[in-house]
Amino acid sequence: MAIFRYALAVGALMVIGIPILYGFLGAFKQNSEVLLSRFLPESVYFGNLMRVLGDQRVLRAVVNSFYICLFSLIVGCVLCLLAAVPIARRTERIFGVLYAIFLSSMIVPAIASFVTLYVMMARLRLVNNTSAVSLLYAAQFMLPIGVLIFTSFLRTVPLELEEAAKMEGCGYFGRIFHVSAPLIRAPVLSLAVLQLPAVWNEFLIPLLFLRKQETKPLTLLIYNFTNEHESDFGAIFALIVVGMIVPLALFLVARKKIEESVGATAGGVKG
Amino acid sequence: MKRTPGLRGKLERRDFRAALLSIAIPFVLFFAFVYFPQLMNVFLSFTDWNGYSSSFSFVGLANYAKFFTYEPMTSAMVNSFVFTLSVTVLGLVTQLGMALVLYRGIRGVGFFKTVFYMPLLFSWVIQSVIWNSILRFNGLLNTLLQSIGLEVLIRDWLGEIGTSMAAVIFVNTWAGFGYGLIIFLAGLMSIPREIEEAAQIDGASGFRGFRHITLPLIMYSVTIDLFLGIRTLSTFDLIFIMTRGGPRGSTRTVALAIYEEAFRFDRVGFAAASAVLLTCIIGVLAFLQVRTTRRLEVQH
Repeated sequence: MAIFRYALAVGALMVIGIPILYGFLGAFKQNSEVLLSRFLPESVYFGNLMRVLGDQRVLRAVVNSFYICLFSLIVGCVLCLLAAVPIARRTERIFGVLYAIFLSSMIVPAIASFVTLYVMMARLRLVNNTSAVSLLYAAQFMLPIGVLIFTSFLRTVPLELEEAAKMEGCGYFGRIFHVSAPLIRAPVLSLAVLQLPAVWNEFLIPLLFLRKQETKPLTLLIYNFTNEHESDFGAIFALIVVGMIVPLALFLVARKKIEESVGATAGGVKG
Repeated sequence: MKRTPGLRGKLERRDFRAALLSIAIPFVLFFAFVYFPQLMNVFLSFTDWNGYSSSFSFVGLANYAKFFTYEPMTSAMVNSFVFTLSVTVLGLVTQLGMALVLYRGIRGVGFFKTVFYMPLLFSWVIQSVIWNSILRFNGLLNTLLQSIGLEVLIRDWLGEIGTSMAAVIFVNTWAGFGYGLIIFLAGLMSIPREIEEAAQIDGASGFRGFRHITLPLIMYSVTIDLFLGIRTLSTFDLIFIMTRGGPRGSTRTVALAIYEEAFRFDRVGFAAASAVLLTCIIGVLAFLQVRTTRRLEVQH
């Protein structure tokens, strides 16, 4: 039976792993080699990567991707905290209602708001504005799930610290930033490992709202490049390797945390 | 007891107001970028707006009625159901199966899990590039088939009506495999040792043990996995990038149809109504599914 188990696991490993490896190896092949669909490169060729990494537009896109990720994560965390503290601590109805509104939006498919969002962004002249679009990312990717993660975490934190700070005459926002904020390292990390790859990889938002060359994040740049230079396989594969590195690095650093967070947020739905 | 408006009450009221202000800040952003567009979408679904003109008229439920009769939309709905059903069933079987394999003990579980999770790290754009290079006519798959003498199977996997849907279903299942796997593994890990041992002593092993002991105990994971499966009814990115709905509409899903109605044909009202209906369909299915599988859950 053990042999049977290993056979299944190794089989699945190959089905999942070989395509990824194939994509990775493509970056080190010459264009003519990619066309032949051989698995291994004849000799390791770094020309594609050099060419791609020397391209100003690519570097710009990488910078844009990082900017969007960090900006939306930081804004997202502050906003999640501002929402989660009252939801976790106050007993008045209004906070429960607002919490329900935050969560219920998660079931609505993205496509259901993009038509009006597009009109709205265009009217407000926010298209091609990386900072404004980062706020959109924060609202869509960080807020609902972050409020869920932060709230369920804060509910497990005893009230004593806050009570003590209150006695000392610390105001409401003072308590949020001096008492609650230092405690939320764990949920911030959960939110980051779950949603940063999602922001990095998002396709529809930049497709609609970041169309100008200087504002494109890497994912959209790769998409446009594959459509415009269909036969420049070497460069295409080099680009996808560049796009793979950041989420892969995050994953390898935080593998345990990601696994935990997937389990925990899936568990949060139970609530 | 009547509250005396002392210092404490005053502080309490000030706290309440501060709490309201605190939650108002994120809520404003959330309202502007998430909730308002969703509400506005519902409003527009009752109009014939084209997306740019300054006037429009109300058409009542006409857009909603059109959803069920307009052929491009109904065939997209059929495609979406085929896609979702296949992805969900295939996902459930493969993920749960592999979770059991890994759970029963295998050397290097960490390595296997790492690789299985990897596709989830990469954008659909990247996955499409990889799979296009494998599935295209002179791609890796056909080269492999030729080298092992299975020339009969060679075809343009994404470009033929007969296989395009199966191809995107496969790619989606491939991509989501690791997520469900982790959910099922977490469920299996949470089963107390004593229960498993007791079951073994009572002779409930193999398939019977799984059916009567393990499965009811991880029903909660099944609930989540199916819930995530139903959400694929709104799949857009993968198909937009890989096939654009083609060839000849064979992979055109509802989300894709909505996108085209809104951004290509300027029928914003109809696109909005379709999106509302899609949301409702997902909501109702998710509700029914969660209710059904929840009933099968047992506590331990």
